[in-house]
Amino acid sequence: MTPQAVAWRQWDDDLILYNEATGSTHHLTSLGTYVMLALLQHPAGIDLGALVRTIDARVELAEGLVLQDEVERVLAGLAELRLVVRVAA
Amino acid sequence: MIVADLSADELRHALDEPGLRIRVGPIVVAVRSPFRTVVDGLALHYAAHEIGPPDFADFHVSVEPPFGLRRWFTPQALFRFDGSPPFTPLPAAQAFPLFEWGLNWSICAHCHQYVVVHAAVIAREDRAMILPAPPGSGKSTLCAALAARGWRLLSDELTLIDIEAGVIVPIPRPISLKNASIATIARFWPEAPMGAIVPDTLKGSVAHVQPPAQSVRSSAERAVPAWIVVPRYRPAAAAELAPLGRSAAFMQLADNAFNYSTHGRRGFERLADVVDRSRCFEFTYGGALDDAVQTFDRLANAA
Repeated sequence: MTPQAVAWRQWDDDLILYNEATGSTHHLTSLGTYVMLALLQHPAGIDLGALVRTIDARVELAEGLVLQDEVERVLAGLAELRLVVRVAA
Repeated sequence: MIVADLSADELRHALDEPGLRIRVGPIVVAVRSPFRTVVDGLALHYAAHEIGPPDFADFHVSVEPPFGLRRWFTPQALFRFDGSPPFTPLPAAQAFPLFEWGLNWSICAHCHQYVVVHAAVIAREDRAMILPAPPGSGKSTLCAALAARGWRLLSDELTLIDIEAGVIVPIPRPISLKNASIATIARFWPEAPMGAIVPDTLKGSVAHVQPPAQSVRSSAERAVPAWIVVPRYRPAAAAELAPLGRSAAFMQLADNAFNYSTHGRRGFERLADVVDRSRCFEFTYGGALDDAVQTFDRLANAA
């Protein structure tokens, strides 16, 4: 996945993003913040496994939830908002 | 020369063609109107405003009867900006509020050298407190109460953030009160220079309070963002100030900005800078204005 052209500010565990492609502003919290920050630190892209490992130590999930599943769910939401795009490995 | 220097006759004549130039914060507005309520409204509410240069105005606006027979049966007032009416006419009794609403529209639609936020803004010296909120949150009531107790009024309605410098540009104009807040302020500030109550507008009853003369005289003194306080009126609630996350404060500014999307990324960066420079709070209150003023005074004195 790679992040799209955005301006952003992080305040505490929240991330505010401005998507230049759409003109939309988004407010991410908790897992969404961690996922997007990890992607912003890898502008050339990062594969799903590495992404999950990057944020694993920073996230406490509720019992019964699987981190990779949750990250994939977040990525799908971010892709729908055109904040990230899936690229071939 | 200020508007108060004009006699009633001079003011009435000045509102004929080509219009009275009034300096309102950073803009010069040329106003024309034959309506007595507009003449009286300008005489009261813009008394301390400077008269602008005779050969220049940023906006040319008028509040006049519309053309056509209807004007004789149900007197109406029509606001025009550079000769074109952005709105349908309103009853003539609403001519002065229509001027104020029209001027708000003119600023929001044309002053893109600023990010224009629907927010009251007041200041202690050069430190500005921005109160972004949708209608009904009590921001104008709070603003009037704070202006009555010595805070500098920068605007009760439109916060102008300079897109280049990120500072707040004052545009002190009449404070617009609606419905129950009219009586609330009349009780809190019995000597408030308040104009006539205009009933049955789209917003209910409205009345305006003259901006403090000292605030008008200080219009050229820009202020730096220091606090963002989101007011929430809840009947009978005790005054309570609680910290607000910066991300929530940012979204309040963005959601209440009229031209945020016009500025694109620069608008985002500018609002984010304002948030970075400000302490952010949510303020719940139930109409006890003395408590509210004390809370705001404490906040300003603590900084």
